[in-house]
Amino acid sequence: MSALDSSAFIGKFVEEARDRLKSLSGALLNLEQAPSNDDALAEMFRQAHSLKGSALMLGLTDMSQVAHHLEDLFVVAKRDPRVLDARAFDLLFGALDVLSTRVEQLARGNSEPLDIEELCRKLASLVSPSAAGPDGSATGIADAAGETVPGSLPAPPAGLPTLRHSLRVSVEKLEGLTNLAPELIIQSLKASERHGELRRLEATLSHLKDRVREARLEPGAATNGVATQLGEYADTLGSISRQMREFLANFSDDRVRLNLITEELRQSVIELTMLPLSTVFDAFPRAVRDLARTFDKEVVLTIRGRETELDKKIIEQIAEPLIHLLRNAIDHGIESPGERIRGGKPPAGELLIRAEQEGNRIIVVMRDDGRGIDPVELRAAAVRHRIAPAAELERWTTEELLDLIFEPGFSTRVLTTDVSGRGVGMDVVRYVVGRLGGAVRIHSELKRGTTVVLDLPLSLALLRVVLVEAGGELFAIPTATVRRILHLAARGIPQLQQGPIIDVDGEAIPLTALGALLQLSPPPTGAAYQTALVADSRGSRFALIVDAVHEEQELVFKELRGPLRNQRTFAGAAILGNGDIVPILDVQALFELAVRSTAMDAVPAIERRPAPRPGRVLVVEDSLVAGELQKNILLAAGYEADIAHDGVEALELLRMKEWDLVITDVDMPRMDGFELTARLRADERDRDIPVIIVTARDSLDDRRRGFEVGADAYVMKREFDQVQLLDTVRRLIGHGTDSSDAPPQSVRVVGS
Amino acid sequence: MAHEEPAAPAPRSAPDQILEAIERQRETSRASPTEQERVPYLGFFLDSEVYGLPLEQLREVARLTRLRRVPGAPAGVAGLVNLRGEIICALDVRTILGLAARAAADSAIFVALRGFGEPLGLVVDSIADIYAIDPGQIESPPATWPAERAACFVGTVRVPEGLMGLLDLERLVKI
Repeated sequence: MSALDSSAFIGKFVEEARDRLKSLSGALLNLEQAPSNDDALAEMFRQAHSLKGSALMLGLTDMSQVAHHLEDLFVVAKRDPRVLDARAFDLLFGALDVLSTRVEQLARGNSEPLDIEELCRKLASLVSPSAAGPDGSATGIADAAGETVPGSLPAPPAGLPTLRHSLRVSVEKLEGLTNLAPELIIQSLKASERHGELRRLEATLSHLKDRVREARLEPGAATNGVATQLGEYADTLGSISRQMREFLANFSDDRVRLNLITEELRQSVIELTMLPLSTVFDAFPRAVRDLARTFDKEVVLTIRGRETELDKKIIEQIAEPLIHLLRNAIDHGIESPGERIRGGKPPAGELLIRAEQEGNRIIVVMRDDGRGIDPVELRAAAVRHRIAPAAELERWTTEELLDLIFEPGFSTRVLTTDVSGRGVGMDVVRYVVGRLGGAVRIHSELKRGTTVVLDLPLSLALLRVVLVEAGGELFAIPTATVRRILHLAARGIPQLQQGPIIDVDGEAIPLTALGALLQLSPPPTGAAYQTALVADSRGSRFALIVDAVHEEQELVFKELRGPLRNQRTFAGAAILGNGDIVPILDVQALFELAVRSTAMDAVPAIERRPAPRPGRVLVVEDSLVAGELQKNILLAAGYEADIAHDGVEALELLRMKEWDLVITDVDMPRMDGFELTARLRADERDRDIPVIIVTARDSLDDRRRGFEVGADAYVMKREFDQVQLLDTVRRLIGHGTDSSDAPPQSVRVVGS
Repeated sequence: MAHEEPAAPAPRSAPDQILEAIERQRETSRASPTEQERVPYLGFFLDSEVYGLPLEQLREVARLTRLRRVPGAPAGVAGLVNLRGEIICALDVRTILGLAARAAADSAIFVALRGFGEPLGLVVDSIADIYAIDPGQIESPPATWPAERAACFVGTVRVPEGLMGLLDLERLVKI
């Protein structure tokens, strides 16, 4: 058979084949669920036929043969759906796998044909008269289909192929573009400096004009027509000055427009590097089918939000953790059909995967309606792993217990089966998600099911960071790793053998100075208070003393390269608005550095201390800084406080724990403060919890609306201060536990 | 009326002039094949000594502004430089060559390199000139140089400013 010079077309073929195989796989799944689905069958025939044609053209005879057999089988199945029994489906899926493998090999430049004899024989046996198929007709069809002339494309299937207006561009080129956007901002800043210079020049000119006017009036100027001349000069100067002012105004407008365009450009460039989640999700129906078969489960999979887009780099890394979660859900979560029926559930388990964008985050939820995770089992495993004594564990909340499954090496009897042999544990899931700047949360209800929530950034290029100062230099810490911002009274931090320790919410946390870790010059001593960030990475929690905390910002993340590639202290760097570079700290590496240096010892077992129950306040606030501020004020006054980042999360927290008061912001993603308040008031259990609305909105209408939905108090952010907030809180729920001893210290100290 | 001064050319910075010279060099090397055996080098100063690197490996010359130190970085790394929005790792040639350590002066120059797969640059004191070097004139480093210093050079060549050490960049960037 004469093939064309195929090399030039391989790339195109690979792309086409991937698409066709994807369609085949999707149609096959549909067909398996509804065996008499003629549309699915027709679609599969069409795809197999086209694939055969293209493969033949390029001389890929092994592929064309497999495709040919598929085509035959579909033709027969159209007449007699019984051909497609369970064995046939397994074989068909196997055939698609073989074709995919071959395509991926081609993509990597390997054109070695596969051994397909066995597969073809099995496929042929399905259509041959000896298999319970129709009499002899199958062979005839096979012959007819085989007439396709080698080296020519088959007639195009009905309907024109959709044109795709897209272009392949290398990531490097896109990165080049991303680099230019911040550069534009810097240029614009420079232009604004020039603007200032011009303004000063204009002022000088204006002044000069006034001087000339005055000179005209001086005695003696009237002679020789000097006054007239000076008058003309003054007019000229006045007119120049006017023109300059006009110019300045226009210039200023131009700059504003330039800034807007620059910002838009930056956003568009970021969007260029995004892919839809379908690239990951579309493999799931097949994976779920296979897993369900392996474990003898029945699973109905629902996928939502496959069109949700996020950074290509995240998409690439998130697939494996998701598959692991999927496997966990099917293996451990969803019960066998028999068990489900006995438990009063439908035999088929429901598995929902849902993705949606919330502001700058992508939330991926995976929920099953299986048996849930048993806190009793978790406790038993925790005792086995000697994480804490049994009596201690009795006091742990379900939430704290659930958190244990993310510990490296932690396993319960139900979670140990590692079906894949890949050994990816939940700790790896948390690690990968954490490295991407995201977080994993897990909720589980016994006999009702488990929900895992992945909270991912929209783009790796954009990173939310808190800017901190140490040793006179700025550093960035990813916001996702910052748990708390504390102000510590310098005196009274106990010096344990391992180094200083502070107690935050009953948890002993090692404390270390960022400047000392990085060997920078120490901050001025003698300050009564120190600022510390409680940082969290892969479960290691520690507090970092910094000279100051600056604002929170969204920065364009860049990797460090060259000789800095191998250092670990910094995850990357970013360019600030003024053109300065700020290194971005890797919290995990910092923790390891701190442990290695004598500054701090690892405190593996976390001490927990039951505390008398103070008034418990839920702060609902989407801004980290504002939330932490309020939380700290409340903690300092002896209340217990926690933060929910929006109304939906607040409702979740409200369900889980008892709260005495809710302080909520108005403008938040997902559910705003008005709606939250309204929902609370409509809720049987929570209707009596007092609500304070804290907001920057100061219109009378908003205030009225706040009270209409049932808020107890309305505090303006601009008049927001500690005293006023605390007065309001006290008015509603009384004093905090230790309001008597004065210093505004947010942290209670261990062992004092 | 207004008294006007004759238009004077704007004072140009050394890097600008060098860049122009580089462009000229590139054009001539394209234009005259007979000159091809002479290889253009950029000469720069560290203290009073002149060092050279092939123009081919040069991407850009700019004034060093706002060098960001990186705590804990290897000794040969001066820090990070923002070159039109790109973050480039700046090497401290002074330290790598074992010269007396000195903080970069305000007049320091950043020499961005090309062809190393990663964005890299050198911090140097000032630019000397562009030299067209006949490869035949390149000699081994003098025997009087300590071995570890000599190892940083592919050779030396005599120029008006002194004996120019031609840096072995491949080696230099592997710190």
